[in-house]
Amino acid sequence: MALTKIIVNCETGVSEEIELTAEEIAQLEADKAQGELDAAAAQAEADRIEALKVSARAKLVAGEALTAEEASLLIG
Amino acid sequence: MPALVALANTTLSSNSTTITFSSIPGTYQDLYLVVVGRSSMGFFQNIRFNGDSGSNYNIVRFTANGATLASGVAAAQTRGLISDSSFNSSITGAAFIHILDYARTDKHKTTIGDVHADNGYNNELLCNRWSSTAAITSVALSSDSSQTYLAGTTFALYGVRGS
Amino acid sequence: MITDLIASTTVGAGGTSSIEFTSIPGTYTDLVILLSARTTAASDVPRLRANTYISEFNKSNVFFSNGATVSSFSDTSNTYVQIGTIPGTSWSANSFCNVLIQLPNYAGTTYAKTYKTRTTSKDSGANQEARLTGTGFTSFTAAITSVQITSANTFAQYTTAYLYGTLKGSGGATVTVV
Repeated sequence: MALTKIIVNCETGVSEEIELTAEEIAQLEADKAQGELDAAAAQAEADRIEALKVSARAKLVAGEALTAEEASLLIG
Repeated sequence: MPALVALANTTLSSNSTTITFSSIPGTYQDLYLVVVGRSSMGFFQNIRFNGDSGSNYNIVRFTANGATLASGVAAAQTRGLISDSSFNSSITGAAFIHILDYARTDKHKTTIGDVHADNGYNNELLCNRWSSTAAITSVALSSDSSQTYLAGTTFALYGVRGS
Repeated sequence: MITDLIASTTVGAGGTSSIEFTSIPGTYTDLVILLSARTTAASDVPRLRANTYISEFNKSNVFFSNGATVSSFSDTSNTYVQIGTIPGTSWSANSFCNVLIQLPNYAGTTYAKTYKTRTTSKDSGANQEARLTGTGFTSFTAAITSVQITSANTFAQYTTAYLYGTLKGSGGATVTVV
């Protein structure tokens, strides 16, 4: 099935569904690849933050020194 | 019938210290305020009701600045906040503030607001409680430390219908 | 918060990869888009662009939580805004997300454009996300005349998008500038 886009013209009120051009499909593929990278980066960052928090809590309990970033995560 | 009714607006033609919406009719359920623009310095952007500058404002804020999350609470302040740091001379901020049940006289007044800046670093959620049961008839916006909102900044006040 | 419904659309049985509102009149003060979306893929993160793929990188601060973690980050290397995770085949059936997009002062030309998206998704299982994104540009000051919401996969049938305009005006209150 061909890939399409819906265009709603706000001036005329006309809505139409048309096939994507080759350029638009290429952009879509590029978006898809970038989106996977974006999602991985976001998850990696979330995981990194969570790991720092776990480390910071453990250090606090053990009476060990926290890094500046660990301290900021705990108390802002 | 539209749910949102325009009450007043202004676009600053020059830098200004205070913008006041007054003579607000008490016939709506809520008020909705949109501020888009810049301030001379990145200080707090204040909100006061009915000219009250007493210690009657309580604030909760949640901010995301880049990768840093922070939250804060302040009681008995002399003003509420619509922004912590999303407006300055080189950052355009956009604040959307909902003032609930503003005309009722059986409760303290609360606001819910979210603000962001165009620099990719500021996202804020702010709530205020004004410890007064008086109906709100005026809303004043100003920058902390007598700084100014810059020319081109827009302010729009809407009434939200309840029925 | 809305005053006028400008346009709307509902995705049909074949799905679609993009929803675009074009020829947006410049007579309103702010634009608001409400999107209820689902994808035919496992999940997806749609992208928001204005005025057809402008080349300037935007600057976004993304604040999100997926139930297990909460974090924020800055995204300054893309020409689009990531709206948030929308449900798909790996989510419960019939789960759609809620997206609120606000474009204040969209027709003004004094300051560079800024907009906000707020997305919440939750199914009856363990999938969820809440995301708040504030976005701005350095030099894109032109009026917004079109908005594109694109999926890297396909928006599923029954996805809906509504474009509203709010209009500032005068009507009962007074404003004083000092």
